[in-house]
Amino acid sequence: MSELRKDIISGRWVILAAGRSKRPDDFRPALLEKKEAPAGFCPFCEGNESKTPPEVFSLRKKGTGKDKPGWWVRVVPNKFPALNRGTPPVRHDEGIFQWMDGVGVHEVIIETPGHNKELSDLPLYHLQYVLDTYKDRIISIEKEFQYKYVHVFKNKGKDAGASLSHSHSQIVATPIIPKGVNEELYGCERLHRQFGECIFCRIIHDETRIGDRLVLRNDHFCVATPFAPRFPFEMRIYPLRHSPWYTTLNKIELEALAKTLKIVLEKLKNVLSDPPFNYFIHQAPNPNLPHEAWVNLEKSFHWHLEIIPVLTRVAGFEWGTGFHINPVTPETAATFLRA
Amino acid sequence: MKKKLLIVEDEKNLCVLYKEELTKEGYKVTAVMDADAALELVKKHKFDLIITDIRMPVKNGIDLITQIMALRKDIPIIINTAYQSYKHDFMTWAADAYVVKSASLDELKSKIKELVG
Amino acid sequence: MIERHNLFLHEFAPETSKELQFFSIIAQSFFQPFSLIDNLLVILTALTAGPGVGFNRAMLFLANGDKLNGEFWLGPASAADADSIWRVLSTPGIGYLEIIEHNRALLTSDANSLTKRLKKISYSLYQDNPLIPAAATSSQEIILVKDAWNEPLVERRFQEMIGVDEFLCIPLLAQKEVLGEIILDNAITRLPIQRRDIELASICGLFAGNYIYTAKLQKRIVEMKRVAAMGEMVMFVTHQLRNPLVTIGGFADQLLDPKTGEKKQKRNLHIIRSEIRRLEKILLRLTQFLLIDIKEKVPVDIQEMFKLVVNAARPRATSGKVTLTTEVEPGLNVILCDPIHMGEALRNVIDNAFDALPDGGKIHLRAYRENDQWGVISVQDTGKGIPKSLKEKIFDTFVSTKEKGMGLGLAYVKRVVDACGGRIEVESEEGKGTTFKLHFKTGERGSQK
Repeated sequence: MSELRKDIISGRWVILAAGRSKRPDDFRPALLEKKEAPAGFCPFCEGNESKTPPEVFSLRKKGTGKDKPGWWVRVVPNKFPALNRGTPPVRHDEGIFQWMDGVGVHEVIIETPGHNKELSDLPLYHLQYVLDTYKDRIISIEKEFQYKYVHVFKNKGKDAGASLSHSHSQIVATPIIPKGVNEELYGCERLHRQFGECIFCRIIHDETRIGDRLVLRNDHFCVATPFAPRFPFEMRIYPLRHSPWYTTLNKIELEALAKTLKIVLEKLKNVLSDPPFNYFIHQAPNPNLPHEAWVNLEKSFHWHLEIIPVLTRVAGFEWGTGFHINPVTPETAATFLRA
Repeated sequence: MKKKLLIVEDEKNLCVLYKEELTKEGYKVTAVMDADAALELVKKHKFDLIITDIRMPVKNGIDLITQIMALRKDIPIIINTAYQSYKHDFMTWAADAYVVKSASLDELKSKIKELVG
Repeated sequence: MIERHNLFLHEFAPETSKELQFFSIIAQSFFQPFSLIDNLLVILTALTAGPGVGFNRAMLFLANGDKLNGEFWLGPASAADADSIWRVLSTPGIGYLEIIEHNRALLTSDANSLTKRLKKISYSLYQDNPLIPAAATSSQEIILVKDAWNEPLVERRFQEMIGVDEFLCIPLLAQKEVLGEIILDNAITRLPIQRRDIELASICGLFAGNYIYTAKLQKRIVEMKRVAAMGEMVMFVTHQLRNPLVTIGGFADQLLDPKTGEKKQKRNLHIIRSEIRRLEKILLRLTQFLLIDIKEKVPVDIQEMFKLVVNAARPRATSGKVTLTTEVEPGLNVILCDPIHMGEALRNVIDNAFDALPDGGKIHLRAYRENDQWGVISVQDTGKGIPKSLKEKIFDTFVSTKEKGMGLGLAYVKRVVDACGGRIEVESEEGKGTTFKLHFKTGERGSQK
């Protein structure tokens, strides 16, 4: 039984082609990835700081020096920036890599000194360090007036586009706003005019009430599968407090986000057998720049984090015109994820 | 003392060219045409700099440099390849420079000078 | 008990309604290789096949950008004309297919004065164009005009051209997009247009709209494929060309250095020359690949072609310790294809076979009949075979097992075979060998496009 659903913000249509009922076993990724570095070398590992460019930021133990061991999180610029056509696309915003050639900022956030730890393995305080780092870097980059948008994303696993297995995220700042975010901004503006409220706030309220797509909710965040998901098991983490910018998170909220993210990552790992995934932060453009295009930006847009597992066995697929077919309904996905 | 360079390149003509040109610059140059031979040499001798292509049959340059790193982390490495696209593979960071092959050897020569003098 | 019927039941019993026959013919056109003009012709023919069936004349406009242009006008130009045409059309036993052929000839002949007149006419397609005939497309309705000479909404020139009191306008639409218009009348018999006629005509209009839309989509797909290939092509070209360029550049620079000795100079020039030849080869293969333009398929003598190909391959066979044998089924002499491209394609497949036999082996060329219309040319080798993972992609452009290979050879072969109306397949077992099978139409029925 197929169902057509429309995403209210982007206007995109999705076909949910849920055939026979699926079990979590069906979603196991085809190949479980090896963890160790090939031949035992990795440029991100602690001890190999000389192999990376000089760091622009780090959270480190007292008494340790720049570009030396003793850090929890370390941020370095891209060592070999280049025009990148053949880059594995970050799923939402293809085209973002075209701007890395000298024009944009491209930094790598090395999330842990050890090679075998993933984000979900980290103790809460360490995970929070990573989230703090995102905030710090975004603020720092946004001070540069030519960058309209700062894109924070993470690829885990070869199939998700990660060239290294050492846990890391990336930040790319561009002078243009990526297509996917633009669509959302316009959509939210339109819906705000129509309904008189932030559509995300409305979504949070509805998903909490309906419950079918709710994965978890705590004092500060709400996690749900979207109504018209493009990919199976995709999830959104929404802050309960309305804000267009990630950078407005305070200490308590960052702590709560760390907790929430850790649970979400653990769920993915357990339910889908440690799949590769992409996640990215969708937030409003640089607040230091004027936003003539979006009159009601502050009221209409709500930052959030989208996380999409890459499932090769049961994949969704996309037709050239952007039409998606997804074999798993968000309600089914939520049921498995809630467990 | 002349600096010792090891060049790993599977195109014979380019091996000849690089060897000649870099010898002229005052380096002692050894050229090999596959990665396994290069690895053996690195195990036995000390080189001041390794210059390697990426796309090679049997074993590619990225695997080569990760294996070299496992032996000695301190050898400077230059990646010299026709392809831009490998830049997005962070494993290339094991190298110290990434040069895209061009008809003029100037960029390669200047990077060599920068790294070993 | 099982009853089998031909998919194309166009032998109708006398009591079969005209309508059923009518739509059967139109629907059958879906099974032919798609040609927009042919399909529209079928529709116009069905609408005008004779007195008492549908209409006397049918006019077709096609939309292009914001203009509605006159394309075809099918039907007798005058009563005298009508007489002779309809006599032909009512020959006992004449089928629709013959009628369609007749009309095709009529439409494309110089004598077709009706179409000549129509080709000069075009109308603006804008949203509220009130003038008939464009009005049918702007209001997206079927318009039946009666007492046309006195109807102010009918465009003057059009009325003078069509010259009748009554006519019917059917807009051709798809997804709200205007694709054209058909205008029908009974200029000769002067029979009034009935409701039944309008129903028939409207359904024809839906079919016609569909055809036109499909043709547009096909065009767009071809275009998109081409653009995608372009992107790949650019990357491919830059990569392939870089190594030879670096080599030439480097050795040329050396030549400019006065310190370079004579021996070195000579050597450099040799290297530069061979790299240039290499570049030429790359270019040649690229252009060959891009510009396959198979205009005409002619009968080609298989024996002759095999002889040529084997002779060319003999040096490589001897030096590589490969036995090259051929076998042509007796009586199977000709295949339909383009001899130059076919020869080149065969050479490519054989080259591939050689590559799979680095330590010698056997290559067997065979030509045999598959059935009445089809023949097969197969190239079998006893080489290392193709790994399963590669088999699906082997005919894709730029896929190559050779590190420095171009990946164009087999893609080229596939293009040639496809362009000749044939098909190619490969069977392979790792360690045992590979067989490429090229399927072709045999020339027995006489050569034709």
